[in-house]
Amino acid sequence: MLKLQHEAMEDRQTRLIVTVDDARVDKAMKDTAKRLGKQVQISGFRKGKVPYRILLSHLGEDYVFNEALDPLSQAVYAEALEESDLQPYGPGALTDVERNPLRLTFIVPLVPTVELGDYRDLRIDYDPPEIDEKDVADAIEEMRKEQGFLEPLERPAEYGDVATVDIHGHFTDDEGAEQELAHRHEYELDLLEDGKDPVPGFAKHLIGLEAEAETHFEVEIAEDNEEIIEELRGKTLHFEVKVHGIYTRDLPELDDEFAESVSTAGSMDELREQVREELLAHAKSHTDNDYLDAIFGQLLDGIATVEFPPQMVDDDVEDLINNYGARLQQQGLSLDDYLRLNQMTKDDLRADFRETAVRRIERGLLLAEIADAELVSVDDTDLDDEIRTRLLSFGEGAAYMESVLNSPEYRRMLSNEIRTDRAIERLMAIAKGEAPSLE
Amino acid sequence: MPKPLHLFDVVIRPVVTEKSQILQDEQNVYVFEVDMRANKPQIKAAVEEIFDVDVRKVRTAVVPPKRGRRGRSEYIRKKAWKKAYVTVEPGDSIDLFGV
Repeated sequence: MLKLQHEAMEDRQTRLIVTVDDARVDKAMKDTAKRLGKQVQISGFRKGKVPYRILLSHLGEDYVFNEALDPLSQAVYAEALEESDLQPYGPGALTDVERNPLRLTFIVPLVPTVELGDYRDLRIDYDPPEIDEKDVADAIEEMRKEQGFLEPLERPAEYGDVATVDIHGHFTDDEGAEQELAHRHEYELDLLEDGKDPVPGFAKHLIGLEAEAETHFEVEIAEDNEEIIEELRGKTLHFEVKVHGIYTRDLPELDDEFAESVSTAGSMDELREQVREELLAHAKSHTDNDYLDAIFGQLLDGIATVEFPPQMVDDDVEDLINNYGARLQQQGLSLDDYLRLNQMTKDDLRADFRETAVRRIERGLLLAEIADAELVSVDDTDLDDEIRTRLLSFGEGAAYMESVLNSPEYRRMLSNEIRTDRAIERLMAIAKGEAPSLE
Repeated sequence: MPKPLHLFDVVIRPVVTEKSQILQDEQNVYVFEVDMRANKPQIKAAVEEIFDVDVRKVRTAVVPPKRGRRGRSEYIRKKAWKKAYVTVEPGDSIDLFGV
């Protein structure tokens, strides 16, 4: 019979103190001695025939005790958990051992608890992203530039031309020290009247120069110019520039032919529509992410409470590190090499990942709980649909991948993914005030 | 004339082997290596004095030397020694230095 005592601690951990009676300890030690006796050679005895007391004095009582402690504490721990009504998240740690009588202290991490609170009352304004004509036009102009090529010019540079230049910049900082600013080689610079690259007012110094010209000039940055990083404001920047060549950008016409060459669209109108959709999708995922951040921020700040043991974070950090290591491995770099290159230790990396892990756990637990509360379910048809969509991206390997994707493990994983996604959708709908009530 | 044997020179060491353990456990017999010159009364007196027990009986045996040969020459690998089986009165026991 075990005597139990437990004290709750912070962070979903509990201190479990178990008192083990002497007879049991004695038996464990004797069993251990028997096992050890088979391994040690003591003169005068055959292996395994050494009496207990001889072994004790030979090996030392402490040694035998420590050897016995491991299996004993494990057995005791299992029984103690059985007897108490604790729900452990993972293996407990033996933190303290007292002898005569034997008292073992375990720290047991408990399963996380999630208290959702009035999460259904959460309301956050959602700003749907908007894409206007200018964004679309800019994006298409960018595509046009990529398609165009440079035609050398035999005349001095004018606005609208492109110059390839070497730039050396420096300035004197507040302490009076000379600071290197920009150092570019054969840089393609668009000479625009209101160009801000590399600093506003730069381009005008190049106007009128011919290929192979060299020049140096100063640009003053206004104190209140907000487009420039703070330490450069109000400074005089010195530039030395060598012009390699002056070019004109030979841009393709914005016609249906262009549309066909850069995309699957058949006409300019279609291209505009496609670009708009892409931009919108991109902006939406960005907005949604921010929105979700805000939701979780508010949920965790007073509405819902999530408690989990620190071991969970540690486990997740290890997971993250392993994933990271696997990704590095794909690039042909082992984790150890990576650490050496960056002069980090594994502990530094752990510290870096810690925050991510905590966030992942909090969100994961919340979402799982919300999925339950909101009766989110995933059935086999959903899974089959999703698997079919995923198979499409494999092309020729689809036949083989189908068996992989249909394995029970993958289906379970996928079902969790879908469930989480739906919980996220649901959560966003709630915050927007669009969620239908459950009844 | 050799020096007379002192009481505390009689018993040299306890013999700790599987067999001696069995004798100890089952028959209350303790086994010692003793000085070659010691006789039974001396051994009895020594054990009684050292371990503070009553000795019922002492039996002795001379363990033959272990001899080795290298060609024609013979040598002694391990000298002969005297072993004493000391039966202790029931109820008494000897704590052999925790051995």
